[in-house]
Amino acid sequence: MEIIVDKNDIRIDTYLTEVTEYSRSKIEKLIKNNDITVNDKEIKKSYVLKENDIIKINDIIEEDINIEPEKMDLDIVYEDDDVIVVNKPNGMVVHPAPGNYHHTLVNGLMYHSKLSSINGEFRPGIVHRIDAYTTGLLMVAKNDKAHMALAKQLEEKTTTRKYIALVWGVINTDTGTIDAPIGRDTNDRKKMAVTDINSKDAVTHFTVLERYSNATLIELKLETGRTHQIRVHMNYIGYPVVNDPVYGRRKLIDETGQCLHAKTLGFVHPTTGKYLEFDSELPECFLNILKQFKDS
Amino acid sequence: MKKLAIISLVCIIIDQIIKVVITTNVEFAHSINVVNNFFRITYLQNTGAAWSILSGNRILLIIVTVIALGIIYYVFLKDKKIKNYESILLGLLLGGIIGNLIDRVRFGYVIDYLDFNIFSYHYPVFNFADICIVISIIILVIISLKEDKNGNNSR
Repeated sequence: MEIIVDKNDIRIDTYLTEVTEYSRSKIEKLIKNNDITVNDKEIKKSYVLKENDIIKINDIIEEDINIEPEKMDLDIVYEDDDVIVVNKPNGMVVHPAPGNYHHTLVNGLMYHSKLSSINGEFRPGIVHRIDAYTTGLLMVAKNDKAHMALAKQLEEKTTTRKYIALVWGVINTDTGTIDAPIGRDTNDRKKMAVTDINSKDAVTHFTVLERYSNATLIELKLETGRTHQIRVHMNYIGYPVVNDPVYGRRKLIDETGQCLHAKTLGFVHPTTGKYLEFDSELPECFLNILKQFKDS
Repeated sequence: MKKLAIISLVCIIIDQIIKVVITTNVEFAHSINVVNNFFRITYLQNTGAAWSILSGNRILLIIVTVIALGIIYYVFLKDKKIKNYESILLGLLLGGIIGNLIDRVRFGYVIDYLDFNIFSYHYPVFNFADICIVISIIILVIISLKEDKNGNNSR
Protein backbone atom coordinates (compact mmCIF):
# COMPACT_ATOMS: atom_id res chain seq x y z
CA MET A 1 0.00 0.00 0.00
CA GLU A 2 1.28 3.46 -0.90
CA ILE A 3 0.08 6.70 0.68
CA ILE A 4 0.94 10.22 -0.40
CA VAL A 5 0.93 12.46 2.64
CA ASP A 6 -1.44 15.42 2.47
CA LYS A 7 -0.62 17.00 5.81
CA ASN A 8 2.43 18.73 7.26
CA ASP A 9 4.27 18.30 10.56
CA ILE A 10 2.48 15.28 11.88
CA ARG A 11 4.00 12.16 13.43
CA ILE A 12 3.78 9.15 11.17
CA ASP A 13 2.12 6.92 13.77
CA THR A 14 -0.57 9.55 14.41
CA TYR A 15 -1.09 10.13 10.71
CA LEU A 16 -1.42 6.46 9.85
CA THR A 17 -3.92 5.77 12.64
CA GLU A 18 -6.02 8.54 11.14
CA VAL A 19 -5.84 7.64 7.47
CA THR A 20 -5.64 3.85 7.57
CA GLU A 21 -7.72 1.29 9.36
CA TYR A 22 -4.68 -0.09 11.19
CA SER A 23 -4.56 0.19 14.96
CA ARG A 24 -1.75 2.20 16.52
CA SER A 25 -0.10 -0.91 17.95
CA LYS A 26 -0.24 -2.56 14.54
CA ILE A 27 1.41 0.49 12.98
CA GLU A 28 4.12 0.49 15.63
CA LYS A 29 4.77 -3.17 14.94
CA LEU A 30 5.02 -2.54 11.20
CA ILE A 31 7.42 0.38 11.77
CA LYS A 32 9.55 -1.71 14.12
CA ASN A 33 9.83 -4.41 11.47
CA ASN A 34 10.80 -1.77 8.90
CA ASP A 35 7.72 -2.59 6.88
CA ILE A 36 6.78 1.08 6.68
CA THR A 37 9.10 3.39 4.76
CA VAL A 38 8.93 7.08 3.94
CA ASN A 39 10.40 8.05 0.56
CA ASP A 40 11.96 4.57 0.57
CA LYS A 41 13.86 5.24 3.82
CA GLU A 42 13.36 3.36 7.05
CA ILE A 43 11.97 5.52 9.82
CA LYS A 44 11.06 5.57 13.52
CA LYS A 45 7.55 5.93 14.81
CA SER A 46 8.34 9.47 15.96
CA TYR A 47 9.19 10.50 12.41
CA VAL A 48 7.51 13.78 11.44
CA LEU A 49 5.97 13.80 7.99
CA LYS A 50 6.00 16.51 5.36
CA GLU A 51 3.37 17.00 2.69
CA ASN A 52 3.86 14.81 -0.39
CA ASP A 53 6.07 12.31 1.44
CA ILE A 54 5.42 8.84 0.06
CA ILE A 55 4.68 6.21 2.69
CA LYS A 56 4.97 2.59 1.65
CA ILE A 57 3.42 -0.08 3.79
CA ASN A 58 4.61 -3.59 3.18
CA ASP A 59 2.15 -5.57 5.18
CA ILE A 60 3.76 -8.98 5.36
CA ILE A 61 2.45 -9.55 8.87
CA GLU A 62 -0.92 -9.75 7.18
CA GLU A 63 0.02 -12.95 5.36
CA ASP A 64 -2.15 -14.89 7.76
CA ILE A 65 -5.22 -12.98 6.58
CA ASN A 66 -7.76 -15.25 5.18
CA ILE A 67 -11.08 -13.86 4.15
CA GLU A 68 -13.40 -16.75 4.76
CA PRO A 69 -16.79 -17.37 3.23
CA GLU A 70 -19.51 -17.27 5.88
CA LYS A 71 -23.01 -18.61 5.69
CA MET A 72 -25.38 -15.67 5.93
CA ASP A 73 -29.03 -15.01 5.35
CA LEU A 74 -28.73 -12.49 2.52
CA ASP A 75 -31.62 -10.66 0.89
CA ILE A 76 -30.78 -11.31 -2.76
CA VAL A 77 -33.07 -9.32 -5.03
CA TYR A 78 -31.73 -10.56 -8.36
CA GLU A 79 -29.12 -13.02 -9.51
CA ASP A 80 -27.87 -14.58 -12.74
CA ASP A 81 -24.50 -15.84 -14.00
CA ASP A 82 -22.98 -12.36 -14.07
CA VAL A 83 -24.47 -10.15 -11.39
CA ILE A 84 -26.09 -10.21 -7.98
CA VAL A 85 -28.26 -7.41 -6.65
CA VAL A 86 -28.40 -7.59 -2.87
CA ASN A 87 -30.35 -5.57 -0.33
CA LYS A 88 -27.82 -4.79 2.39
CA PRO A 89 -29.17 -4.74 5.95
CA ASN A 90 -28.41 -2.03 8.50
CA GLY A 91 -25.03 -2.21 10.20
CA MET A 92 -23.36 -4.62 7.78
CA VAL A 93 -19.96 -3.58 6.43
CA VAL A 94 -19.65 -4.15 2.67
CA HIS A 95 -16.15 -5.60 2.46
CA PRO A 96 -13.27 -6.63 4.74
CA ALA A 97 -10.48 -4.16 5.51
CA PRO A 98 -7.24 -4.48 7.50
CA GLY A 99 -8.30 -5.31 11.04
CA ASN A 100 -11.79 -6.45 10.11
CA TYR A 101 -12.03 -9.69 8.17
CA HIS A 102 -15.30 -11.22 9.26
CA HIS A 103 -19.05 -10.81 8.98
CA THR A 104 -18.96 -8.44 6.01
CA LEU A 105 -21.27 -8.66 3.02
CA VAL A 106 -18.35 -10.00 0.97
CA ASN A 107 -17.90 -12.94 3.39
CA GLY A 108 -21.54 -13.83 2.90
CA LEU A 109 -21.44 -13.41 -0.88
CA MET A 110 -18.31 -15.58 -1.12
CA TYR A 111 -20.20 -18.39 0.55
CA HIS A 112 -23.09 -17.81 -1.83
CA SER A 113 -21.20 -17.79 -5.14
CA LYS A 114 -17.99 -17.06 -6.99
CA LEU A 115 -17.12 -13.36 -7.30
CA SER A 116 -14.99 -11.21 -9.63
CA SER A 117 -11.36 -10.85 -8.62
CA ILE A 118 -10.10 -7.60 -10.17
CA ASN A 119 -10.77 -5.46 -7.11
CA GLY A 120 -8.29 -7.39 -4.95
CA GLU A 121 -8.73 -9.96 -2.20
CA PHE A 122 -10.44 -7.53 0.17
CA ARG A 123 -13.12 -6.54 -2.29
CA PRO A 124 -14.08 -9.44 -4.54
CA GLY A 125 -17.14 -8.62 -6.62
CA ILE A 126 -17.45 -5.10 -5.24
CA VAL A 127 -17.96 -2.39 -7.86
CA HIS A 128 -19.46 0.25 -5.57
CA ARG A 129 -20.11 0.64 -1.87
CA ILE A 130 -22.59 1.99 0.61
CA ASP A 131 -21.79 2.84 4.23
CA ALA A 132 -22.23 0.23 6.95
CA TYR A 133 -25.28 1.95 8.43
CA THR A 134 -26.78 2.83 5.06
CA THR A 135 -29.20 0.17 3.85
CA GLY A 136 -30.29 -0.82 0.38
CA LEU A 137 -29.35 -2.12 -3.02
CA LEU A 138 -25.85 -2.94 -4.11
CA MET A 139 -24.80 -4.63 -7.34
CA VAL A 140 -22.04 -7.22 -7.20
CA ALA A 141 -20.07 -8.73 -10.10
CA LYS A 142 -19.67 -12.49 -10.28
CA ASN A 143 -16.95 -12.45 -12.92
CA ASP A 144 -14.32 -10.04 -14.19
CA LYS A 145 -16.10 -9.30 -17.45
CA ALA A 146 -19.25 -8.25 -15.60
CA HIS A 147 -17.13 -6.31 -13.11
CA MET A 148 -15.53 -4.21 -15.85
CA ALA A 149 -18.85 -3.56 -17.56
CA LEU A 150 -20.50 -2.38 -14.31
CA ALA A 151 -17.47 -0.31 -13.25
CA LYS A 152 -17.52 1.40 -16.65
CA GLN A 153 -21.19 2.34 -16.23
CA LEU A 154 -20.48 3.75 -12.78
CA GLU A 155 -17.61 5.78 -14.15
CA GLU A 156 -19.71 7.07 -17.03
CA LYS A 157 -22.55 7.81 -14.59
CA THR A 158 -25.07 5.84 -16.62
CA THR A 159 -26.37 3.80 -13.69
CA THR A 160 -29.50 4.81 -11.82
CA ARG A 161 -29.00 5.24 -8.09
CA LYS A 162 -31.79 6.72 -6.06
CA TYR A 163 -31.62 7.12 -2.32
CA ILE A 164 -34.21 8.02 0.26
CA ALA A 165 -33.16 10.06 3.27
CA LEU A 166 -34.86 11.67 6.23
CA VAL A 167 -33.22 15.00 7.04
CA TRP A 168 -33.61 17.47 9.90
CA GLY A 169 -35.39 20.71 9.09
CA VAL A 170 -38.12 21.56 6.62
CA ILE A 171 -36.91 22.10 3.06
CA ASN A 172 -39.23 24.64 1.43
CA THR A 173 -38.02 24.26 -2.15
CA ASP A 174 -39.28 21.15 -3.96
CA THR A 175 -36.03 20.31 -5.72
CA GLY A 176 -32.42 21.31 -5.42
CA THR A 177 -28.89 20.51 -6.48
CA ILE A 178 -25.85 20.62 -4.24
CA ASP A 179 -22.62 21.12 -6.13
CA ALA A 180 -19.71 21.39 -3.71
CA PRO A 181 -16.41 19.47 -3.73
CA ILE A 182 -15.77 16.81 -1.08
CA GLY A 183 -12.45 15.80 0.45
CA ARG A 184 -11.06 14.72 3.79
CA ASP A 185 -11.82 17.01 6.71
CA THR A 186 -8.48 18.62 7.55
CA ASN A 187 -9.38 18.68 11.26
CA ASP A 188 -10.60 15.12 11.51
CA ARG A 189 -9.12 12.71 8.99
CA LYS A 190 -11.83 10.14 9.54
CA LYS A 191 -14.50 12.55 8.38
CA MET A 192 -15.20 14.00 4.98
CA ALA A 193 -16.13 17.64 4.38
CA VAL A 194 -16.85 20.22 1.71
CA THR A 195 -13.41 21.65 1.03
CA ASP A 196 -11.25 22.91 -1.81
CA ILE A 197 -8.15 21.15 -0.47
CA ASN A 198 -7.48 17.75 -2.09
CA SER A 199 -11.12 17.37 -2.97
CA LYS A 200 -13.12 16.09 -5.90
CA ASP A 201 -16.28 17.44 -7.50
CA ALA A 202 -19.48 16.13 -5.98
CA VAL A 203 -23.03 16.73 -7.21
CA THR A 204 -26.22 15.66 -5.43
CA HIS A 205 -29.78 16.26 -6.67
CA PHE A 206 -32.69 16.05 -4.30
CA THR A 207 -36.48 16.12 -4.50
CA VAL A 208 -38.79 16.63 -1.53
CA LEU A 209 -41.20 13.71 -0.99
CA GLU A 210 -42.87 14.70 2.25
CA ARG A 211 -42.55 17.42 4.86
CA TYR A 212 -43.02 16.92 8.60
CA SER A 213 -43.02 19.48 11.41
CA ASN A 214 -39.23 19.44 11.79
CA ALA A 215 -37.93 17.02 9.18
CA THR A 216 -38.19 16.31 5.45
CA LEU A 217 -38.25 13.03 3.55
CA ILE A 218 -36.26 13.41 0.33
CA GLU A 219 -35.22 11.38 -2.69
CA LEU A 220 -31.65 11.83 -3.86
CA LYS A 221 -29.86 11.14 -7.13
CA LEU A 222 -26.11 11.17 -7.22
CA GLU A 223 -24.03 12.38 -10.13
CA THR A 224 -20.85 11.40 -8.33
CA GLY A 225 -20.21 8.78 -5.67
CA ARG A 226 -17.86 10.34 -3.13
CA THR A 227 -17.40 8.83 0.32
CA HIS A 228 -20.28 9.94 2.60
CA GLN A 229 -21.51 12.25 -0.18
CA ILE A 230 -25.18 12.52 0.80
CA ARG A 231 -24.41 12.83 4.51
CA VAL A 232 -21.79 15.53 3.96
CA HIS A 233 -23.81 17.48 1.41
CA MET A 234 -27.05 17.52 3.39
CA ASN A 235 -25.17 18.58 6.53
CA TYR A 236 -23.44 21.29 4.46
CA ILE A 237 -26.70 22.94 3.44
CA GLY A 238 -28.06 22.77 6.98
CA TYR A 239 -30.34 19.71 6.69
CA PRO A 240 -28.27 16.90 8.23
CA VAL A 241 -29.46 13.30 7.84
CA VAL A 242 -31.51 12.21 10.86
CA ASN A 243 -29.78 9.83 13.29
CA ASP A 244 -26.38 10.20 11.60
CA PRO A 245 -23.77 9.55 14.30
CA VAL A 246 -21.01 11.40 12.41
CA TYR A 247 -22.62 14.26 10.48
CA GLY A 248 -26.04 14.41 12.14
CA ARG A 249 -25.38 17.37 14.45
CA ARG A 250 -28.57 16.62 16.42
CA LYS A 251 -29.46 14.06 19.05
CA LEU A 252 -29.44 10.42 18.00
CA ILE A 253 -32.71 8.53 18.08
CA ASP A 254 -31.38 4.97 18.22
CA GLU A 255 -28.35 2.87 17.35
CA THR A 256 -29.27 2.13 13.73
CA GLY A 257 -27.36 5.04 12.21
CA GLN A 258 -28.28 7.50 9.46
CA CYS A 259 -31.77 7.35 7.92
CA LEU A 260 -30.43 6.70 4.46
CA HIS A 261 -31.55 3.93 2.12
CA ALA A 262 -30.32 3.06 -1.38
CA LYS A 263 -33.78 2.47 -2.79
CA THR A 264 -33.43 2.09 -6.55
CA LEU A 265 -30.60 0.64 -8.61
CA GLY A 266 -30.59 0.43 -12.39
CA PHE A 267 -27.88 -0.68 -14.82
CA VAL A 268 -27.36 -2.24 -18.22
CA HIS A 269 -26.80 -5.96 -17.93
CA PRO A 270 -23.17 -6.83 -18.85
CA THR A 271 -24.04 -9.63 -21.27
CA THR A 272 -27.62 -9.15 -22.44
CA GLY A 273 -27.29 -5.36 -22.82
CA LYS A 274 -30.78 -4.99 -21.37
CA TYR A 275 -31.50 -2.24 -18.84
CA LEU A 276 -32.52 -3.64 -15.46
CA GLU A 277 -33.95 -1.65 -12.59
CA PHE A 278 -34.60 -2.82 -9.05
CA ASP A 279 -36.50 -1.25 -6.23
CA SER A 280 -36.50 -1.94 -2.51
CA GLU A 281 -38.67 -1.07 0.45
CA LEU A 282 -37.50 1.12 3.32
CA PRO A 283 -36.07 -1.09 6.09
CA GLU A 284 -37.64 -1.45 9.51
CA CYS A 285 -35.07 0.76 11.28
CA PHE A 286 -35.84 3.61 8.87
CA LEU A 287 -39.62 3.15 9.12
CA ASN A 288 -39.46 3.15 12.93
CA ILE A 289 -37.81 6.55 12.99
CA LEU A 290 -40.01 7.86 10.18
CA LYS A 291 -43.10 6.92 12.15
CA GLN A 292 -42.01 9.11 15.05
CA PHE A 293 -41.80 12.10 12.71
CA LYS A 294 -45.10 11.32 11.01
CA ASP A 295 -46.86 11.10 14.36
CA SER A 296 -45.47 14.31 15.79
CA MET B 1 -33.71 59.56 15.97
CA LYS B 2 -33.90 60.62 12.35
CA LYS B 3 -30.37 59.41 11.76
CA LEU B 4 -31.25 56.08 13.35
CA ALA B 5 -34.23 55.64 11.05
CA ILE B 6 -32.21 56.47 7.94
CA ILE B 7 -29.45 54.01 8.88
CA SER B 8 -32.00 51.30 9.59
CA LEU B 9 -33.69 51.90 6.27
CA VAL B 10 -30.39 51.80 4.37
CA CYS B 11 -29.53 48.48 6.06
CA ILE B 12 -32.90 47.03 5.20
CA ILE B 13 -32.70 48.16 1.56
CA ILE B 14 -29.15 46.81 1.07
CA ASP B 15 -30.12 43.55 2.77
CA GLN B 16 -33.25 43.07 0.67
CA ILE B 17 -31.51 43.99 -2.60
CA ILE B 18 -28.74 41.43 -1.98
CA LYS B 19 -31.36 38.80 -1.16
CA VAL B 20 -33.24 39.48 -4.41
CA VAL B 21 -29.97 39.26 -6.37
CA ILE B 22 -29.10 35.96 -4.69
CA THR B 23 -32.50 34.31 -5.08
CA THR B 24 -32.84 35.30 -8.74
CA ASN B 25 -29.32 34.25 -9.71
CA VAL B 26 -28.46 31.28 -7.51
CA GLU B 27 -30.49 28.10 -7.27
CA PHE B 28 -31.43 26.89 -3.83
CA ALA B 29 -28.58 24.94 -2.15
CA HIS B 30 -26.22 25.87 -4.97
CA SER B 31 -22.76 26.98 -4.07
CA ILE B 32 -20.47 29.38 -5.96
CA ASN B 33 -16.79 29.31 -5.17
CA VAL B 34 -15.49 32.87 -4.68
CA VAL B 35 -12.22 32.52 -2.77
CA ASN B 36 -10.77 29.02 -2.71
CA ASN B 37 -11.37 27.26 0.57
CA PHE B 38 -12.38 30.49 2.30
CA PHE B 39 -15.50 32.06 0.85
CA ARG B 40 -18.39 30.64 -1.15
CA ILE B 41 -21.82 32.01 -1.92
CA THR B 42 -24.37 29.36 -1.02
CA TYR B 43 -28.08 30.10 -1.15
CA LEU B 44 -29.86 28.54 1.84
CA GLN B 45 -33.23 29.05 3.47
CA ASN B 46 -33.00 29.09 7.24
CA THR B 47 -36.26 28.30 8.99
CA GLY B 48 -34.62 28.64 12.42
CA ALA B 49 -32.79 31.41 14.24
CA ALA B 50 -28.98 31.60 14.39
CA TRP B 51 -27.33 28.19 13.83
CA SER B 52 -30.79 26.89 12.84
CA ILE B 53 -32.02 26.75 16.46
CA LEU B 54 -35.79 26.62 16.82
CA SER B 55 -35.90 25.38 13.25
CA GLY B 56 -39.40 25.38 11.80
CA ASN B 57 -41.09 27.49 14.49
CA ARG B 58 -42.06 30.35 12.19
CA ILE B 59 -44.71 32.00 14.37
CA LEU B 60 -42.67 31.66 17.56
CA LEU B 61 -39.64 33.21 15.88
CA ILE B 62 -41.68 36.12 14.54
CA ILE B 63 -43.14 36.75 18.03
CA VAL B 64 -39.68 36.58 19.63
CA THR B 65 -38.37 39.05 17.05
CA VAL B 66 -41.19 41.51 17.66
CA ILE B 67 -40.67 41.26 21.43
CA ALA B 68 -36.94 41.90 20.91
CA LEU B 69 -37.75 45.00 18.89
CA GLY B 70 -40.06 46.18 21.71
CA ILE B 71 -37.38 45.62 24.34
CA ILE B 72 -34.81 47.52 22.29
CA TYR B 73 -37.25 50.40 21.94
CA TYR B 74 -38.01 50.60 25.68
CA VAL B 75 -34.45 50.12 26.88
CA PHE B 76 -32.63 52.34 24.43
CA LEU B 77 -35.03 54.69 22.75
CA LYS B 78 -38.19 55.61 24.66
CA ASP B 79 -37.77 59.03 26.33
CA LYS B 80 -34.00 58.75 25.95
CA LYS B 81 -31.55 61.17 24.47
CA ILE B 82 -29.32 58.99 22.34
CA LYS B 83 -25.78 59.84 21.45
CA ASN B 84 -24.56 60.03 17.89
CA TYR B 85 -22.71 56.70 17.90
CA GLU B 86 -25.70 55.03 19.55
CA SER B 87 -28.00 56.05 16.75
CA ILE B 88 -25.60 54.49 14.23
CA LEU B 89 -25.27 51.23 16.20
CA LEU B 90 -28.96 50.95 17.04
CA GLY B 91 -29.77 51.77 13.41
CA LEU B 92 -27.62 48.83 12.29
CA LEU B 93 -29.17 46.57 14.92
CA LEU B 94 -32.78 47.42 14.09
CA GLY B 95 -32.10 47.36 10.34
CA GLY B 96 -30.60 43.88 10.60
CA ILE B 97 -33.40 42.53 12.75
CA ILE B 98 -36.10 43.99 10.50
CA GLY B 99 -34.29 42.77 7.35
CA ASN B 100 -34.47 39.18 8.56
CA LEU B 101 -37.99 39.66 9.96
CA ILE B 102 -39.21 40.69 6.49
CA ASP B 103 -37.96 37.35 5.09
CA ARG B 104 -39.54 35.38 7.88
CA VAL B 105 -42.92 37.01 7.42
CA ARG B 106 -42.81 36.81 3.61
CA PHE B 107 -41.36 33.32 3.15
CA GLY B 108 -41.24 31.64 6.56
CA TYR B 109 -37.44 31.42 6.34
CA VAL B 110 -34.46 33.73 6.21
CA ILE B 111 -32.35 33.89 3.06
CA ASP B 112 -28.71 33.12 3.89
CA TYR B 113 -25.83 33.22 1.42
CA LEU B 114 -22.46 34.08 3.01
CA ASP B 115 -20.55 30.82 3.40
CA PHE B 116 -17.16 31.06 5.10
CA ASN B 117 -14.60 28.42 5.89
CA ILE B 118 -12.29 29.83 8.55
CA PHE B 119 -9.35 27.70 9.72
CA SER B 120 -11.09 24.65 8.27
CA TYR B 121 -14.18 25.33 10.34
CA HIS B 122 -17.26 25.55 8.20
CA TYR B 123 -19.12 28.47 9.66
CA PRO B 124 -22.94 28.32 9.39
CA VAL B 125 -24.13 30.26 6.33
CA PHE B 126 -25.33 33.77 7.21
CA ASN B 127 -26.26 37.09 5.55
CA PHE B 128 -25.69 40.85 5.54
CA ALA B 129 -28.41 41.50 8.14
CA ASP B 130 -26.66 39.07 10.52
CA ILE B 131 -23.44 41.07 10.12
CA CYS B 132 -25.27 44.32 11.02
CA ILE B 133 -26.78 42.68 14.10
CA VAL B 134 -23.61 41.01 15.37
CA ILE B 135 -21.30 43.98 14.81
CA SER B 136 -23.67 46.48 16.45
CA ILE B 137 -24.25 44.21 19.47
CA ILE B 138 -20.53 43.57 19.96
CA ILE B 139 -19.72 47.30 19.89
CA LEU B 140 -22.68 48.18 22.16
CA VAL B 141 -21.55 45.56 24.70
CA ILE B 142 -17.94 46.74 24.60
CA ILE B 143 -18.99 50.36 25.11
CA SER B 144 -21.35 49.55 27.99
CA LEU B 145 -18.64 47.44 29.68
CA LYS B 146 -16.22 50.34 29.38
CA GLU B 147 -18.76 52.78 30.80
CA ASP B 148 -19.38 50.48 33.76
CA LYS B 149 -15.67 50.26 34.38
CA ASN B 150 -15.36 54.02 34.46
CA GLY B 151 -18.17 54.16 36.99
CA ASN B 152 -20.04 56.29 34.56
CA ASN B 153 -23.69 55.56 35.19
CA SER B 154 -25.03 57.85 32.56
CA ARG B 155 -27.90 55.53 31.94
